[in-house]
Amino acid sequence: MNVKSNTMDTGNKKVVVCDDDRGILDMLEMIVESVGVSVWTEVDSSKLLLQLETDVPKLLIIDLWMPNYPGDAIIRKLRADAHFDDLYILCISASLNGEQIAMEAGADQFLAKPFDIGQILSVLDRVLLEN
Amino acid sequence: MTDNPLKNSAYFDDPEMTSLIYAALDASSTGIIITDNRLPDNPIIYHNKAFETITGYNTTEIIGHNCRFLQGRDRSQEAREQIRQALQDGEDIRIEIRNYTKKNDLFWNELYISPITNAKGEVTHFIGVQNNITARKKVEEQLVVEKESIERKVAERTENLRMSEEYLNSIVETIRESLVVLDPNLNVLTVNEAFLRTFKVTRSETIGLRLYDLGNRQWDIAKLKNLLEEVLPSSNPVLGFEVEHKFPHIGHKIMMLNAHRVELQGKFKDRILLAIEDVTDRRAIEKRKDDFLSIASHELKTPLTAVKGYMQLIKRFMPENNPKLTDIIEKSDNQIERLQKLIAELLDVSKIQSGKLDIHHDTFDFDKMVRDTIENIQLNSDSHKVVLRGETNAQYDGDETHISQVVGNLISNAIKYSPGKDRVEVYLSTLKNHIKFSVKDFGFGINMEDQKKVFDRFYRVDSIQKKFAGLGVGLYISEQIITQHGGTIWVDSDAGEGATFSFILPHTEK
Ligand SMILES: Cc1cc2nc3c(=O)[nH]c(=O)nc-3n(C[C@H](O)[C@H](O)[C@H](O)COP(=O)(O)O)c2cc1C
Repeated sequence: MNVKSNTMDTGNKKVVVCDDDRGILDMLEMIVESVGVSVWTEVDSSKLLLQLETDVPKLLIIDLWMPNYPGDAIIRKLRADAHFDDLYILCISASLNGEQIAMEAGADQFLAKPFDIGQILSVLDRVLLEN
Repeated sequence: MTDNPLKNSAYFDDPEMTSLIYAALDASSTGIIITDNRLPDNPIIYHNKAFETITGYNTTEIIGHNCRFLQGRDRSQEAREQIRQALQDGEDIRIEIRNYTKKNDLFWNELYISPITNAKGEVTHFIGVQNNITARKKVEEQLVVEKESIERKVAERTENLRMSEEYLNSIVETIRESLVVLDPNLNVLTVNEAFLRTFKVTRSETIGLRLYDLGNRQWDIAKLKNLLEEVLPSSNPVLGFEVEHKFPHIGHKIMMLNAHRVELQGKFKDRILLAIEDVTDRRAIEKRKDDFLSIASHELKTPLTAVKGYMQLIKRFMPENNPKLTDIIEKSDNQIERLQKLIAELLDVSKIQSGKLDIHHDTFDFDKMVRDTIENIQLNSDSHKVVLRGETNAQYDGDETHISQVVGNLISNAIKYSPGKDRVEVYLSTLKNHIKFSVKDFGFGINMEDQKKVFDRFYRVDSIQKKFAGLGVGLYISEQIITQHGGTIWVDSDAGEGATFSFILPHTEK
């Protein structure tokens, strides 16, 4: 399951993580970086869309329940834009009906908090090594 | 009446004119007579045709008689005295008097008498004019009788109503709910004290107004209007209609409305009794409890997620051959696991309480689910061997995750509450139209008293409470899950000889 860092392209921002909780954000950044993938984090969901426009990542890990701009609204916006057709969206949330909300909005996958980092690693593995 | 019109008239000298006047008098439907006051007892000297018709007497029975014969034996009337007085004083009079026809039929006679005086001022004649007013009198009398009986009935009924109204009023006033009585046009007829207190208004700014015009038109809601307008025609009550509104004087409130058609002994049929209850606090508490538990578990899960992630990262980056650190990490992991379970339980309880515990139905292999659950438990517990006996062979239709949660909870409890023992036994079996799961431990057992209560929320067996941490909601949640599948869960135990927890689920093999 482990992804060796030398198998990853570290040059581009391949993964973007958006969560309003700094603790989760830092932890996820460390996990992604631990396998040598470059990651960019955003704590303010309202700034996320603008950033994504300029540099489309391969994977977006996004929380649902965020102030300013809720995750499901962002997912909907992305799914309506052909520009992001190749973007894999992993939704993570501690909300009661998070899975339903995420899948209805158009996420590719959902993980309930608290997740095992093994689950995150296997998503990275699958999505980033796809091509 | 000092002149004598008959004598003074120029016509009287003309015989043709005289006969014309007689003809005119006879054509009248009103009785007319003339008496000669100068003769003894004031006898009748002229009568017209109508007088015969009215009285039934003929000329020979009339002329020369005093008119009192019309009174028959009914002589003690007050009217008679009044006539006598008037005649004596030489004045005219209008009076109603009871008279009788020749056939002795009563008729009411509306009588005018006028005196005729000569030049010397002596009353020489009287003219009498009679009208039969029996019919009119009858109607009038009937009216009086009817009016009296109506008044009597009204009085009786008013008394009855006064009593039942007083009774009703005392109920209406003592009740703590706000009550409004509406007429069919939804105008406010009355309100009780509770209404005035609740809405901080006076009677004068309430009574007589249309319901929709009260306050800042808080009840002017199309849906409520439709429902209320249906109450009278259909007799369908309005039940539990909630209005959330910023009311004048009292601010934001949630009011629950119930409206019924009311009737009081036919006095008012078409009234609507509207009961208004302030449910603001009740709703707020319900919502807060709901919100609190789901927000709390969400907020607890967030740092837990971070801690769990970091712990797993430490494991990844940890240099090998460091048994001390490995042990610490292991123990931390267990604590995180425990915390995670507690939060999950908290959430389950909140879901059950708010009725949001969703049971999904899918067919799954029951025995495999039990084996998988046991395997999972054995991974974390090597103190006890979980022995599996029997089988159901059931392709069960239900919520696998939740049933597995129950199985896991029962087996974990069996292990937890039998420290020092080395095994627990799981039995699977089929009964008529049911499948059965049991788990037996060899621990302290549970006494009769506690057996009934172990499935209660937050209940923990006293003797055990101090030894083991936890919310004590596991069995409560398990019971809820089993019940929602149509099954039952129970415990058999003899204190000191362990306990057996069992559940059955309805199942028929297809
Ligand atoms: C012109 C004239 C017409 C009268 N018509 C009637 C009559 O229609 N019915 C009647 O009861 N009395 C009638 N009276 C009254 C009676 O003749 C009589 O005066 C009355 O009963 C009072 O007198 P008494 O108490 O001697 O009877 C009439 C009297 C006069 C003078």
